[in-house]
Amino acid sequence: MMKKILFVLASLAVLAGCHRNEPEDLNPAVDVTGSWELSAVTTRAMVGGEQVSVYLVFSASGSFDLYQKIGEGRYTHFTGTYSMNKDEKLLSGTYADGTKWGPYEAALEGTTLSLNLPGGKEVDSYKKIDAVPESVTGNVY
Amino acid sequence: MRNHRFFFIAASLAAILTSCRQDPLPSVVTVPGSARTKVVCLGDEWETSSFLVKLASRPSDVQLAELQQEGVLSVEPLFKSFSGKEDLERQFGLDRWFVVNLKEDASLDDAILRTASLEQVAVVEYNVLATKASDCKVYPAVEQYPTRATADKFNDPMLMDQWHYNNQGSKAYSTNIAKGADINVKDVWSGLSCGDPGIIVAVVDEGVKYDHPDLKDNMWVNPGETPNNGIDDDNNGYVDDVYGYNFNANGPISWSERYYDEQRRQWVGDSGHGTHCAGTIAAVNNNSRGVAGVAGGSGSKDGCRIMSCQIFSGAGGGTAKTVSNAIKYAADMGASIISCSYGYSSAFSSDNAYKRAVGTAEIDAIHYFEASDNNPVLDGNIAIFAAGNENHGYAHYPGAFYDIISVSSFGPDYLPAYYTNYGPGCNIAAPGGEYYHGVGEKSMVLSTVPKEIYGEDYGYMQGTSMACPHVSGVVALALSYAKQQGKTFSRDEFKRMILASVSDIDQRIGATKEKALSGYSSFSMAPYYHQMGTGAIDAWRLMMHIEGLPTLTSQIGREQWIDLSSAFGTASVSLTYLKVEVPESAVTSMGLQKVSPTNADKYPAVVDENGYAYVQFGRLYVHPTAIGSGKITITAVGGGDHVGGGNNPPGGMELTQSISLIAREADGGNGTGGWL
Repeated sequence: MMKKILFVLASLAVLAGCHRNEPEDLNPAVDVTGSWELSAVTTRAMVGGEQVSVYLVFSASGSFDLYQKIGEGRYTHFTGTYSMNKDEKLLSGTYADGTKWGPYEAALEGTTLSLNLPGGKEVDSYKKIDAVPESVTGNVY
Repeated sequence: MRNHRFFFIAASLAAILTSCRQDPLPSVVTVPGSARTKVVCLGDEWETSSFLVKLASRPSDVQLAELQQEGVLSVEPLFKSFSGKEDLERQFGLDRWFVVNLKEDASLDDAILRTASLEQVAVVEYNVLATKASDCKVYPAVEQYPTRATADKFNDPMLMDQWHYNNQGSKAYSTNIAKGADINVKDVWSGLSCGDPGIIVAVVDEGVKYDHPDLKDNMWVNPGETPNNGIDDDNNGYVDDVYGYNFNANGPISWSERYYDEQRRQWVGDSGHGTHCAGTIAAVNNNSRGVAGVAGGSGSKDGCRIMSCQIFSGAGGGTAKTVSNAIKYAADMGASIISCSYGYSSAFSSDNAYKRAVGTAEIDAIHYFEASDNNPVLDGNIAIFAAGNENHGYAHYPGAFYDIISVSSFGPDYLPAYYTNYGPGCNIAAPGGEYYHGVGEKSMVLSTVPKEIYGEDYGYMQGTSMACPHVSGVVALALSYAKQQGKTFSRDEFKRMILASVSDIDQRIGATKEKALSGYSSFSMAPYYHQMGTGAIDAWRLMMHIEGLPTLTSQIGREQWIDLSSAFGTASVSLTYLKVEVPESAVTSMGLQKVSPTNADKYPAVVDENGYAYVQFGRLYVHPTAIGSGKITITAVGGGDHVGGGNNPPGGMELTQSISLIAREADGGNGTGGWL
């Protein structure tokens, strides 16, 4: 009897091990967590003739920090929450004041994150960075 | 007789004052004694021959007689009672205010303290002097005459130089020009409203030159008064008040009394300040002359009307007594708006401090005005004040009072003017102009001035004094439009709508800008960020608020999508859309370029029949190229992917919603302004 029980347990362990060894999810969510710096844009390179500088931090807890500067002056700091639609790889979120943004089609290639508005009208590229520079976080309004 | 001196402020209070720039303290007499707490003063300059007293209750003859103390020449009611409004006067305590006139050799301070010690006295107020919210420098402008090149919506030939109404980015008005740094009124004039003679704006200021060729058709005329007969025909207490009244001289309106002060080496007296403000509000439009006014009509004698409530005349005026009476007159004679480009540079720690300390006669008069019902749209009236030109981090009073609209100033670069007050108490911003910008006076505000002073009928000025009448004009337009639409609002609701009808002014604020004051220098913009009120007044948005239409913002120069959730709710991205219609007026105003959806086979889209907009992914796509505004109509299905009914299978309901779209240089209206 004891041998039979051990066999069943051993079989379950093997089965469980087989499960873990199955091929990975064919459609995983893009992992956007970390810090990003806007590196390229297609249609929004200039806003009203002004240069744009944007840093994004997506935390694992679902919050984000956005530092942006348009033209001269200091950075503006925005906060809020974000979420990723795993099936469609759509990234969307809400600013702290309740204003929604996105969804963007998110794609990760190496250390470059692309956020595209569906339809290909606007494509923003961000490069991964270790952290938002202090010259940015310490220079906000 | 006047006195010039600074109040003593207790050392501890002064310490707080210097350490708390945005929470300043009042200039109140703080000497010991309970009676002295009744004494209030809001300026550092006042009349020495009179003061004001408010009694705690309606006085008996005995109590009135007690005011007649040593040194007192006479005691008289501050306000003239207006037949039919006695209840409202009592409600705001106007019947309890008195003016105490002193004998020539009497001590003002002694008389004030003796009066304050009387039990029946609630407030004793110094008869302080207000100042105009402008440097009163005028750069005359030679009148231009119509040419084919100047033809616009209106044929006023100098409208093209009024960048403050329609700023299309010409560097003739600033080397750092910002398209759209204006009040966005062009499209309001083009189809919504140009004014209404039933909406009267009282200019509480220097006298308005009522026979100015570009103002006379829009002057309010008292129907009950016969001009120049020396009789108070309508029995309102004022003789020959045909276009208003001179409350300082207690007589006819004047606008050109001035003299050259050799000691100060400058002109003193009338500067055309009131005439300039009046022209901004309602200079006659489309009359082939001079300038346009915000609510100056369409050329068919249909502009809003200007009432001149003169508080400054020659080198005098602006006392609390004069101002309070002028505001009450505006309330009693039918004004819906008072445009007040004056104030007091004294500072107050809070509204409560102000309320306790300040010229309550004036505040009582303002609240009486706002409670009076002079138009079919509101259950009251609207007072609008200049924020002041001291470059303080707070508005000056009385505009700083929490429930009174106070206007800060920006230049043609859409940046705060170097002189403007900002911070607490500043509710909204408007163009006030600013000398320099590499173009001299062209970057200031162009309006009407008295020819008697300057040899020309037009001139440039700058100040929050000039910003204030822009808001007054827009509010007059809004009341005109609401009246035309048969809409009604509460006064407080309307104030909220005014403050919500703005374009973002913060987006362009950078590190520094230049000013030309005692030479050229740069100054930091950081203190102004989020401190100029809710934003820059936007006439089109206010009209759309009145219509109840959602207003969305786009940026010129690129194709972009506009979120439709404010029109169709949060489900807007998943609705099925049937139609989008863009009228020609919107195409023209915003210079819309044709656009076409991409991947339409994969992602369904509906396209305007002329190709000027489409809806895809639940968003509106447009490509504006010019500063402008327009309405776009979108039809969707609510509850399914097709419309039900008839022979159709079960489906949803057709939803048609108009939206108002504004195209500006900086996209500052949708949401937070964040990049994502």
